[in-house]
Amino acid sequence: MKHDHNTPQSDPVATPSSRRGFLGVAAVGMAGILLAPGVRLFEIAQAAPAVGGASSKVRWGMLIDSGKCASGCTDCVKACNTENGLSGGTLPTDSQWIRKLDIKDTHTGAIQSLPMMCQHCAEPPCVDVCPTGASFKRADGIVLVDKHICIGCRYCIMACPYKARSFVHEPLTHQKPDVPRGMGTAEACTLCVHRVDRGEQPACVNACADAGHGAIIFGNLNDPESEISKRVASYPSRQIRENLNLNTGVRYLGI
Amino acid sequence: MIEKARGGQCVEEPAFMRRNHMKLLMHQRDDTLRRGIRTDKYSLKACIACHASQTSQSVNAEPGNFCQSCHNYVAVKIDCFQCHANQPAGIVAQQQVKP
Amino acid sequence: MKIVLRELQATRRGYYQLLAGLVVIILLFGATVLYIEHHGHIVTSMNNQIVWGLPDVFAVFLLLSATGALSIALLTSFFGKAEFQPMAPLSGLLAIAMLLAGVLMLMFDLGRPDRANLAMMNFNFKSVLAWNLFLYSGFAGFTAFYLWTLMARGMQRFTLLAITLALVWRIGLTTGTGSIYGFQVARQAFDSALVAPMFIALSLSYGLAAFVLVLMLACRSHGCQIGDAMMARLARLQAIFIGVGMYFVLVYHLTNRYFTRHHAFEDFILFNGGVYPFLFWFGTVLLGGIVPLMLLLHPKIGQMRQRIVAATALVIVGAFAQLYVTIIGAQVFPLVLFPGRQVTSTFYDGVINPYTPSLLEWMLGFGGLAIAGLIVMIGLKLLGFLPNRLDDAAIEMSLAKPVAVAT
Repeated sequence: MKHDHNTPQSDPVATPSSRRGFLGVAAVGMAGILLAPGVRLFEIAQAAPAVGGASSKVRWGMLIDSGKCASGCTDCVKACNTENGLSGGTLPTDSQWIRKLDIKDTHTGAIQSLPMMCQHCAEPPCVDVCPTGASFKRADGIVLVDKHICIGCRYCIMACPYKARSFVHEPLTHQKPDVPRGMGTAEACTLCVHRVDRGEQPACVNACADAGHGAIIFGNLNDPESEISKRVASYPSRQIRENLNLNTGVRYLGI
Repeated sequence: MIEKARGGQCVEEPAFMRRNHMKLLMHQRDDTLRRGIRTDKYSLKACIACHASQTSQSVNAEPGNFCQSCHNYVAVKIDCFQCHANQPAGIVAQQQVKP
Repeated sequence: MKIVLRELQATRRGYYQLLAGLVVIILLFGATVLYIEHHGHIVTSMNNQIVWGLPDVFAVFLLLSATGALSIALLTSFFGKAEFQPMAPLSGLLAIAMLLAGVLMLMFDLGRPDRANLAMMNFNFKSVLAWNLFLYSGFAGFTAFYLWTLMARGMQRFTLLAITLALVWRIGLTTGTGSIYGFQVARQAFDSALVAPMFIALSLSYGLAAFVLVLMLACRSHGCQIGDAMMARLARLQAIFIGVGMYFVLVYHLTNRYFTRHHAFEDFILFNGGVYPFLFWFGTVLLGGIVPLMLLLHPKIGQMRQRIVAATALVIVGAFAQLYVTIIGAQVFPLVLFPGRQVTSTFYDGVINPYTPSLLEWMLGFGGLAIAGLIVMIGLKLLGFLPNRLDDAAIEMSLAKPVAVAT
């Protein structure tokens, strides 16, 4: 295209200085618009009062005495189902957060029974493999699923060495307000985190104690004065699949 | 029309809530779930206990209920109640979880 | 006599019939996805014991074959074997198509596919699956960049850079896919560092087989009859890749069998597991390995096109058998919580878990294949990717002069 210098321009093009001025005002305006919501958010964040919260000074754990666990008893399982709003069904697609294992030694014929649930490992494989970070370990050692960001890929269910996790295969209604559960997400024993945060014990522990069996103790493994710490210090307790070095929060006597 | 809540006063001003309830929900949930910080002021259960409809006992079950009324109008789907109970604790205790 | 790359031009009725068929399958795939998303995974045969079912087998096949399909492009642009140059664009197109299809299948099998955007914003970098997002997108992106350097005028100087990036991502992707399994301590099938290299070896074989089949089908309608010498080259390459794949499968099973603690699992997979040993011996070893090798090692293989078609098709059959045994067989066998003890529970501990894929899962699987096919078919129609001739004389000439792309 040839520029014809003799032809007067009909529309005056904006001069460079006024263009710069416009851009400057626009930039300031944009900055203001972009920053303003952040300033408000900052206000909101500051407004939320911090009330304690989970701390790594505490490590919640359980000690289960397989010797005190009877082979037909399912008190802990029923209590968990009631507390957490689980259906209690045992179809292949039903969620089970705790189950009774019946174990038989094939060489000697000896049998025993114990409850199995999420072991709340200190080095959880489920946390390692979760692509979004939904599977996480709280500061006090409780391993949970953040269902707000769980995408339902089921990698954690594949990776758990204890088969502790379940996948919700169907739409749910009438969940317990303390225990949100939903379709398409992974879930497992939460160590009754909603009760623990209120200073209570998990439902399974209570049920076993109330029924008089006393096979499960719950407590703070980091507190040397707690009953659980004293017991694990005095008696040789073990973890299931110890060779994986996961440092589980749930320990067993008699295995 | 949005149904009136049961309790007297909301934890924040209505104007504030209209603009920011989604931000509160997004950030408080991490505090509660990941950090274990549970407050009476910003508890979802407390919101539901106040705002549940007198007729359906829910915030979400019918079009006129508290959450649903606005969200229907602005056509923003609510994801919360796929997992969270949409009724106050006392009501749920009387029902069983239906898979 | 020059080889010119152009769009698929003489599209006869067969092209449109195939296209229509693929579209129908994809529509069914879409309907299946919506149905599962609405009702939950309970409508499939997957459950808390078999969490990753048939759709995962198809998806992993597509992802492995995608990286393997790029082999021809790698041979020509990275390793300098110029005789494969006319086929490089198709190689790249097939790689991208199969990768996209595999990723879509994985995405739609999620429990919450509506949260896929969250998966792109929240990352846990200790998880291989999180890395995979970057590996998949990087591979597709760099392969597309490579294709662009081939097609755009004057951009050939970037071809080596593009193909190098694609090569690095190709190795990363397949290693990552294998590591999804190999990094799991929980299961006896996966507790092995060999899984990722085995996947690399298998991807070479599966990808080339898919490529050869697509090439022969495309050339049949485009009129670019492949010369005998080139066919023989491809057949020999396929035979080598089959051999490498079989070697890794052999070493994996030998190693696993050596560990006494894995005896029960290996016995299950190899001897007494019902359908799984059948799939392994008949599918992977015989149909996927021995028979194709026999078919491909004939001295006059270039002229015996039916043998090559049969061999590559059998490799694909063997691929599905191998992946089914690897992925599903691992879940069917129970987790071992108490070695040497028999465990029973209400949660199916200690029992072999039955699994029969449901119709919905088959539809998901074939839908994924159809998506890959659709992308290839439309790509060939719109873009100049197919050589007008691939006979031996033309290839000889093209080694002297570079291949021109039709504008």
